[in-house]
Amino acid sequence: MRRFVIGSVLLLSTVLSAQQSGLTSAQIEKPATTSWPTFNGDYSGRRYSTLTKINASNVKHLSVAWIYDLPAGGGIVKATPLLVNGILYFSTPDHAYAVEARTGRELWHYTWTKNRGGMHIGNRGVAILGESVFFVTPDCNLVSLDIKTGREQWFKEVCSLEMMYFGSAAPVVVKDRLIVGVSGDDLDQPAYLDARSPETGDLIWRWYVTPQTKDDPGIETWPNLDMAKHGGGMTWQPVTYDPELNLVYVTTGNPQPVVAYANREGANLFTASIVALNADTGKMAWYFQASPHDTHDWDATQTPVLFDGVINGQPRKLMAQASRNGKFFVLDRATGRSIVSTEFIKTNWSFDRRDERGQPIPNPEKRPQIAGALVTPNQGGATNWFSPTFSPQTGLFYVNATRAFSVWYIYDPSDNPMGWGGTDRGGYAEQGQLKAIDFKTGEIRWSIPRYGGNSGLLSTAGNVIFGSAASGIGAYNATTGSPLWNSRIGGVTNGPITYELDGQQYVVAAAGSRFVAFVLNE
Amino acid sequence: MSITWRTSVVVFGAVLLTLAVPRAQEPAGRGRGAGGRGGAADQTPEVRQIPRTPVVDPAAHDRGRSLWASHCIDCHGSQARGSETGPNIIRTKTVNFDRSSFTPGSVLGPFLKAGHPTQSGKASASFTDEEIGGLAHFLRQRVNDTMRGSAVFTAGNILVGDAKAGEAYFHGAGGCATCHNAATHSLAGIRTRVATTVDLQQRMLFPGMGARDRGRGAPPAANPNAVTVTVTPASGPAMSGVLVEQSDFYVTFRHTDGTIRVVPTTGAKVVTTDPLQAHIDLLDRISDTQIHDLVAYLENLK
Repeated sequence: MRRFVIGSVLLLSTVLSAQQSGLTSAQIEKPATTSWPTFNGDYSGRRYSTLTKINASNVKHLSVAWIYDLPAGGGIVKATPLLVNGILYFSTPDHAYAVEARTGRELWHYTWTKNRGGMHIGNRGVAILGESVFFVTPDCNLVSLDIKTGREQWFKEVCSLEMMYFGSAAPVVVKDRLIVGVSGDDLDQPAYLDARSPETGDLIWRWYVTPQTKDDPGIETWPNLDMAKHGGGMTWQPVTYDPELNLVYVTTGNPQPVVAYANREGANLFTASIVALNADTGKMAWYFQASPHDTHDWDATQTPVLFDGVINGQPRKLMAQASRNGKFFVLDRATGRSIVSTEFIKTNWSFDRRDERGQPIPNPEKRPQIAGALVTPNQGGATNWFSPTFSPQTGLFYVNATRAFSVWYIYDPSDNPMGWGGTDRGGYAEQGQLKAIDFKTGEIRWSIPRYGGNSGLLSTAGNVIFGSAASGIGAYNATTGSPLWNSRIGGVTNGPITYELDGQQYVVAAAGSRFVAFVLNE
Repeated sequence: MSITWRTSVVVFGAVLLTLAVPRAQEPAGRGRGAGGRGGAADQTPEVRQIPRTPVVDPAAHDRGRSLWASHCIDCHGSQARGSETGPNIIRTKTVNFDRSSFTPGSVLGPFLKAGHPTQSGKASASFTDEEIGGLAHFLRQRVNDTMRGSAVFTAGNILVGDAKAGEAYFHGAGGCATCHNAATHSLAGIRTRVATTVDLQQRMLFPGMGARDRGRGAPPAANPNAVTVTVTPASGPAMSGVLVEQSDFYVTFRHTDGTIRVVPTTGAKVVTTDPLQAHIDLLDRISDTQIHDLVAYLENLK
């Protein structure tokens, strides 16, 4: 009888689990290999999977399992899809989708028809908690959808379209709240990061990137409060999170005005930085500025990847970032102290020495000039939005990197420029590279030509790196960089993911308006 | 902002223009239930779009500029960016909500009607709708002027170098004269072949920009700057041609007769040759001063 009761409970539990389409915070914190429940797969930002069915020995046998084409006008996929209970959820500007992860069959498609405008240049994806799917729209709304049907539940304005913000970042669920960033760098406006209620969208806390009062930290790095209050630093990318430290790691964009800098002398904190915030309060714990006084549009919004490692014989809680400005940083993620501060491409905009915090020191001569300054990297950066990956198996940090030159000009030589006031022009780019970096030293362990575009990366315990290849997706040996497999699905436009369903390991990537899933051809 | 997104702005602008034209089409329902495709994505938006760069009526703008000079400029400055006696208003809600409205002056008007000091002493509440519209257009343009891609953003004085030093570098450390001399690749009169001095600077540094055929489709005219490739397989003779594409496992190139070859690279030696390599090598050597000196020299090279 007792066995029957237990068996019934288990059966009931199984049935409930099968019927439940939603997601809990605990499931996000410790994701199963049958899920990809948050932007980076887990809170660490490593984009590393423990799955091994597909591995360096057999990856050449991958075949297409299914293809899903978005409806005409459905947008380009720059989102990492989330996988919850066998269903993929993703977004493009003004659209959200649910697609079966085994078959590619569309379950629902939601369109935000209230759109009033805003930059439609990309959407990084959705967040899921409970029975709701959340995403932001180009016209600054956070939208909640019923996970089963895609029906709209509510929406809330999170930024001002009139003030030239827009929405593009994927929200991230942290505990019982949504962490939501903002986009835009046309008008000189302050960036912020919000914690919002998943039930209503109401604001719980807001952290402004730049000082908004004369007493705020960092005000000493601006010439005056007015410039600080309009100092930009957009929070373009999803955060990472350490539950033990209860710290959210947010990365911030370039200061405003973007290129012309005459009226913002100083480091311009906390733009172009990695910042640790208390998840409950939004209060800053520490910061590290990747580009003090940036003048080249080099957002430092590349993923701050969290992992543990041994440094000088001591186990450490670490964070690494390959930054758009070409620099590679490893920090103690509890304190923000610099451990490694080097570069992953050869740059020419800073001095060889670092400041007392381990931050680069810009060479003033390489600021934009009226007659031009030749700088590498270019505005696109040594890397950009595309996610890196870290494999604890190899101890290597992988990044898609580019070394390009351009000439930077000041177009507005006044002492009070606004907006952009200059830009870079022209250029030459060396062959793109997929680089593997030793986190302990910052040394490049290997670097191979990347013939494809700028995709995100994925590493697996099968000793494989997935990323872009010529007009498609490729697989590379994580230890050596040797190419293992290519498939010409079109240039990959998001970060590939992997998951296991019914004992089958899938690899899924988007190429423009198309998703392609691969499995082993057994 | 990412470069991918930057280039998308132009595309999006074109999309916006399309979206701005209402079409008689039933908006698709949203959130259709499981099992069906949730409606076409190319539906007409229900809501009029706020453009990133609103159109400015030149006549209204010029009327506004006159009014600005008479009543506002002393405090807010010629560009509305403030002065010692008045604030910068480029980034204010009043200006930008008005800029985003479909009726210029719809936000600025009530603001002025409520009373605001003017340098002339004219009561701001007395501005006519036409005058307010003019000021609104003037302010729209001031914001537009600050944005990426603004028409007012043009290169300043590029000619800041020393032509004599440039000549010395050209014939000396720069190594330019090795290729560019009276016999080959002469640069005499080069400035007359480009539109502006900044174009000259760009072409000098990045001559490979623009038409660098990589061999798609029908064979184009021979391009002396095309990258070529030589593939030497593990066995058999070497092959070479204009590089079309490289991938992890294949190299594709075009023979001089126009035929395309795709050759596996496993076990093969692949060597690419860029005729502009000397320019590429220069990028890591040349200083900004040397760039400016070279431009000054080339500007008047007869």
